[in-house]
Amino acid sequence: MKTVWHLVMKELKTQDIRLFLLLPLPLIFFYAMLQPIFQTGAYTIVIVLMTYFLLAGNNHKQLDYKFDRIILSLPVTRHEMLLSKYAMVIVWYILAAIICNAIGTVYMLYYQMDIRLSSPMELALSLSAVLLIAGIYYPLYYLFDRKFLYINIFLFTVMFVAGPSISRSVPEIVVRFPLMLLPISVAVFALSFWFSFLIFQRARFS
Amino acid sequence: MNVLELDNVSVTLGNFSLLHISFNLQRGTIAGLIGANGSGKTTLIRTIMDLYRRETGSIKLNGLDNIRDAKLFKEKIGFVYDENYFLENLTIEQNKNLIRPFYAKWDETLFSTLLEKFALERDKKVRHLSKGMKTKFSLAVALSHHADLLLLDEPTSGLDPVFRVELLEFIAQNIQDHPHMAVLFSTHITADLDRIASHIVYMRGGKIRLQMPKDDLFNRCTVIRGNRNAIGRIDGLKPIGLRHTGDTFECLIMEPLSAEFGDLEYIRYPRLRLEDIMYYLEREKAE
Repeated sequence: MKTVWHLVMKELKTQDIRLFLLLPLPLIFFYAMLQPIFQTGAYTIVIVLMTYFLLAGNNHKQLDYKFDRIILSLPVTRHEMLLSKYAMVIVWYILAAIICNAIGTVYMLYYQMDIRLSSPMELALSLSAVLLIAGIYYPLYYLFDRKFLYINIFLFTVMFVAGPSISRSVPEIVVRFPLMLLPISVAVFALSFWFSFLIFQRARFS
Repeated sequence: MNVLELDNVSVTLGNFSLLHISFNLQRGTIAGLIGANGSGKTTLIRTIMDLYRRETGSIKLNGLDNIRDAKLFKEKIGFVYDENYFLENLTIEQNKNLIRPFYAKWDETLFSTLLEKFALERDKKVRHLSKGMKTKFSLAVALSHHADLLLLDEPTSGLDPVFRVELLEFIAQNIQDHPHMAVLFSTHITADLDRIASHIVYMRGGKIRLQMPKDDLFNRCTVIRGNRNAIGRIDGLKPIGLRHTGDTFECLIMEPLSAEFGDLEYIRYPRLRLEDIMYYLEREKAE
């Protein structure tokens, strides 16, 4: 576990801070504009999009640096490396939630925009969505490697475009399935780890 | 005593395969891994590091298996690859701080000594280092955790001659000072191996075609040149890379030469270089 911790810290320390600001500013502005129409749920979508952006952007950058090859040349097992990748999903999610709410607060206080910060239920919902998406993302990422960039762009575009309409149904989901989604997504996430591990075990790092 | 032991290692990568690789590396040896492009040198190094998973055989470092004991195995390896793997926008100190926690036996004093020896400044960003300085930094990292095996994959490619010689002398000195270590040094620049290698491992088409102490190799190898009419006289000597130019022929002989061949011209060590031997061995493939 110590090694996984070091890997997580290494990922965080090597982040480009611009990644954290590039997307949320326009995204939150965009959703804030739409909020009067959709009423609520905007933050759920923004946090999910933001997490996905951090996750995919960071992994793509690492493909360029041949990061996996270097990490696996250090005293790190494949299992530990994969575990750190999955742990990073939670870290990205927490960061996205903090950043989005912080920027939302700035918009609210200084620009008098009508923004409501995310409720605990919305946070749970966005976490469920993040786990589900990451659960799909990682096996594909390890299966297709660099080619996955195009799927990545496609997935992000679909989420961005579908975001507003999905956010409309967020209140209904929260009311109807308050706590059901989270255990399901955790199970999918765990299954995804096992599946990724099978791929990762045979992977070649050149 | 063997530091590294490879026994019947095979791995397939698309159309290319490493086949039945077996060799041992003893303490205190510097083994030069040579071969043409695509012969499998880098694949072999990556297979040792488990970046490519072996399909058969075993790879052991002081008894530790490279898959089962992956962490301890890699703890005992210092590696220098052919390209920079440090983060360019971070300083030497910051890069070191990212790597250090992974090694249980990291020796900060030794690292500082090596930085000083290589005239590297801790607060200098990696992107501002020359290729030679980056290689020296890689070497400092590779040596700062008391590795038993140093894996060098084309470390001198792209370096100017002064840097190269400096680096080679340092590696040779290092193995003298730490006789428990061994070095596996893959390179295209065979002159580097003329200078420091004690053993030669020659690869071709994913197989090891030749492995022996460098001195034995030079003792056994002779290039013979002569008139085409005299070619029959070397028939029993298994000529390698036989080449005809006009009225003359030339080839490499790896058999002990007991008889005199009169008017034939012999080229032996030190006139004969590793590069020449590799040239004839490669020609054997072409034939």
